[in-house]
Amino acid sequence: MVEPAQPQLPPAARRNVVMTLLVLLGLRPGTAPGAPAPPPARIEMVERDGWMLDAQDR
Amino acid sequence: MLAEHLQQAALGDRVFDICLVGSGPAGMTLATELGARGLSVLLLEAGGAHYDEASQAMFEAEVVGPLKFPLEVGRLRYLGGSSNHWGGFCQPLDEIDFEPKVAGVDTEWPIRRRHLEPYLPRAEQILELGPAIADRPFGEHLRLTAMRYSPPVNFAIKYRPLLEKSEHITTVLNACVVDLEEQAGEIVALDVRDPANGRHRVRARRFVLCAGGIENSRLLLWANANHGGRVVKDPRALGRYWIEHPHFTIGETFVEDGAPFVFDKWNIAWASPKPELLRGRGLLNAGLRVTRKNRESSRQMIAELACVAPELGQWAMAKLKRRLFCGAMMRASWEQAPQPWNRVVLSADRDRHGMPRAELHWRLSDLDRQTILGSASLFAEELLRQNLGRVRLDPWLFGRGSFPGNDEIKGNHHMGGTRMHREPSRGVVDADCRVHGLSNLYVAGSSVFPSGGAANPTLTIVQLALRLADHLAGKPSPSLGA
Repeated sequence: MVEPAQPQLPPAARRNVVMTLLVLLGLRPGTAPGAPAPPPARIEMVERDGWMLDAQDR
Repeated sequence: MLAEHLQQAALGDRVFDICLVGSGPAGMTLATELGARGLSVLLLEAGGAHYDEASQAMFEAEVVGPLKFPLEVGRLRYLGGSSNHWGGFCQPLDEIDFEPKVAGVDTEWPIRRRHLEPYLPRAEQILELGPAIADRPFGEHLRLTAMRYSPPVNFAIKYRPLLEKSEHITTVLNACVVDLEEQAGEIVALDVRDPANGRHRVRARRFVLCAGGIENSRLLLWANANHGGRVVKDPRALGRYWIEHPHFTIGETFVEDGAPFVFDKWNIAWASPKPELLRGRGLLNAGLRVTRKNRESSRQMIAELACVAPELGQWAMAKLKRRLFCGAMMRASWEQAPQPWNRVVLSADRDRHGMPRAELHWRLSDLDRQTILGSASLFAEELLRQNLGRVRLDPWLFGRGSFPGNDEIKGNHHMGGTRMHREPSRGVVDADCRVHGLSNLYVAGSSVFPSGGAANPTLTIVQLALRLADHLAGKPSPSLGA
């Protein structure tokens, strides 16, 4: 008998879960004040009032 | 020998092998190199042995254009010329600086870097430079260059004892050249004035103008006007393609304290786009420097960031408090695009010898803005990629407003005006620094630069003078072929 396939999270969501766990365990720097921000995987530079920011900078 | 004035020198009808006009780094290098090879050299200096206000006033000239700067402060009219007050910053031009970079902008030299490289060790010796430090990559697109320093060598102090005792070099102070005498395609004599405007006719077999980035153009323009265009027979490029290294504050940044570049208080290091990137991005060469700001202005900068990106601002402020970040001012100097409309012309005003003063028509172009915005954007992008910090650029870089007139504006690097080019219609001298169409008139110094790269010019000036010395002494320069 063939087992039904287990529902799986899409890869991006799985990565998020892992990252969140790592941050909670203090094994990966998060974006909390004082901690270095994670390097963006891909740079998309935008200009806002002269600031050369990544599109993800909030 | 060294004479205080022409009367003391008593030149009479003597015909020198070489007559040099100007005793700055180019003229002094040529004099000492040619004198050492036994040629009879006459070195004429318009000023005296020391700074004199009345003499310096002969260099007063106006800049016509939206950005003003005093031309007389970048050059000195006495023995040793501008080496009396230069900063000693030395860097050779990049290989790409001799080549075309941006379509439609004529930055190409008729020689390549390899033609000057044989003269680098001797130039380093003359300028007393320490060992070179290789460029380091900064990310994929940038490199970090460490500036080399001359002590700085003052050519008057270094070489005056040699000039005084030399049997081959006759140095005459207070000898101002006001005209060139042309006959059948060669210069036969110079019209030289003493401070009382007494006239002297000076003869030599070959002449080299080494009077600086403004005076070389001015003298040739005036001589051409006096002699019906027989000195520079095709005058279309004469005085034109004049360039500077624009110097501006371009913005600010906050960066990791341990970022892998040097926080630069004394212009000792810069970040530049890698040469191979310039052509693809349509940029000329540039150098970016970061100089630490104090904590209060750093805090202010990050507070302003928080208005645009609150979370990022909070993160940066926390890092600043823990002294992991510092604020820095960003300054830049860059290669100005050589353009025919930037030029030295003769003014209606005259000096006390009756010679028209120089007038410089000069403005920056969209390519200048594009060059510095492109370079600064690469730097900002690299900080983002390595998450080392963020950059804020001033509005004028984005075309919101003009180049700021209250900044430093220039580097006191006067280049072009008698540029080197294969075509007489597009340059004044050929690859050997000989004026097109004349057999025995040469030009030395930064006025022959077709383009100026981002490097300070003195090292290249000395390399070119050494190469010209070889040419004048009959030793062929390294082949211009492949």
